[in-house]
Amino acid sequence: MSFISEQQYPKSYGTKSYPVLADETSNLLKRIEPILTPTQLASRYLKGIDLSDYTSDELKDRINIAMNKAELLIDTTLTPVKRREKYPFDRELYVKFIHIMTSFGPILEINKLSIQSSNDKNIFEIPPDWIEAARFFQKQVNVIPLTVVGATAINSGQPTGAAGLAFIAAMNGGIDWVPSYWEVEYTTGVCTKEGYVPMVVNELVGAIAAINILGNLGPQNINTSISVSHDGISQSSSNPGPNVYQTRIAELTAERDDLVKKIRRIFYNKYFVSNI
Amino acid sequence: MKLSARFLKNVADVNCFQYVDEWDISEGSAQTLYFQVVDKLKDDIRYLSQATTLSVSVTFLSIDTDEEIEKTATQPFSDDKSIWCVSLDADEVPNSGAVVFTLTEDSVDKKFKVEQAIVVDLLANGSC
Repeated sequence: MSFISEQQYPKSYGTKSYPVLADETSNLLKRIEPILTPTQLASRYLKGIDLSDYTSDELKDRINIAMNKAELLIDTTLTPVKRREKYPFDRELYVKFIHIMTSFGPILEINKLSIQSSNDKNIFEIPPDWIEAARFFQKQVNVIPLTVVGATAINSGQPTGAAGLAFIAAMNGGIDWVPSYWEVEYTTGVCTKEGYVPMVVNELVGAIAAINILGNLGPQNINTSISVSHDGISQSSSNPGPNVYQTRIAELTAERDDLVKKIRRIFYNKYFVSNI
Repeated sequence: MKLSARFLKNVADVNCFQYVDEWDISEGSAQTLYFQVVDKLKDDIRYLSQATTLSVSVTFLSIDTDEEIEKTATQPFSDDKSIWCVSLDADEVPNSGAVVFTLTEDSVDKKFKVEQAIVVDLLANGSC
């Protein structure tokens, strides 16, 4: 066993994104599936509802809109997204193993962590071996250089400008704060397998889409009562009219709100670490 | 003209097939996926190209371009040049979702994308 390695980017912890931190699952229970299809939407949420006004393309459009709304509600993206952002140099956090909290999560993998100049030059690329990935699901990135890094890994991070190195050297002299210093390129999402989402996320997407569709179909039932009379014989009936789907919409709305809270709890534990 | 594709299943011949919302396949088996090129602006009427040289490629998308699967389509029926098909090997597992089609007519590319074009059921679906 060697402590010297030459790991390459991308860097991930190697566990599953859902269930969070799962190392292995039996596959006896289905937990992930492809993005909701029009057939599934009708089957799961709109059983018995006349959808003849909707074409398949229109239902796909409703699902797409619902997915985008779901992304807003749970504050993350449903399919993998590569991001790039810069963080300040904070001496207090630097001595705590370069503690970085990314703006978005959960992190699926780090594609690069480097010291980047303001003219986008790579001053130093952190060897992937030193990046601690265990808290990626909570958006936390640390650099813990406990292992010896092989020559290839170091070479991959060769500085491109001597001026940058001089700047790093100057920081030993007491610079405590640089507003833009670390650059992290990372990929976020709820599923490491592209095109798939946890079934609970599909449940949320379906609820959002169904609320919209039922809201559109309701007003088509314009009459709340109908009465007919002829030669002294009469018959009348009443029904909910435009409110015909209100009960179902209320159920779906409650389910949506509940799912949003629970999914956010799974993927998006919010906490803040800094120094005062 | 706004090109798109309609997906087919149970294709027996040029007159015998069914339209479906998306390709629905399972991981682990070789597949032949059929589609018909249509014009969205003409009520999805089939598109028959008049080009001398014609080809279609199908790209199954990924965030990582190295992971994308690009297949060249063939025309299975000489009687209906709007119908094409692509073959996937058992170990080729495209991501579920949108697919990009590139129709090349006499060296001129016409690209179009179809949302939620393919659904692939995974064998390992207990986690991701």
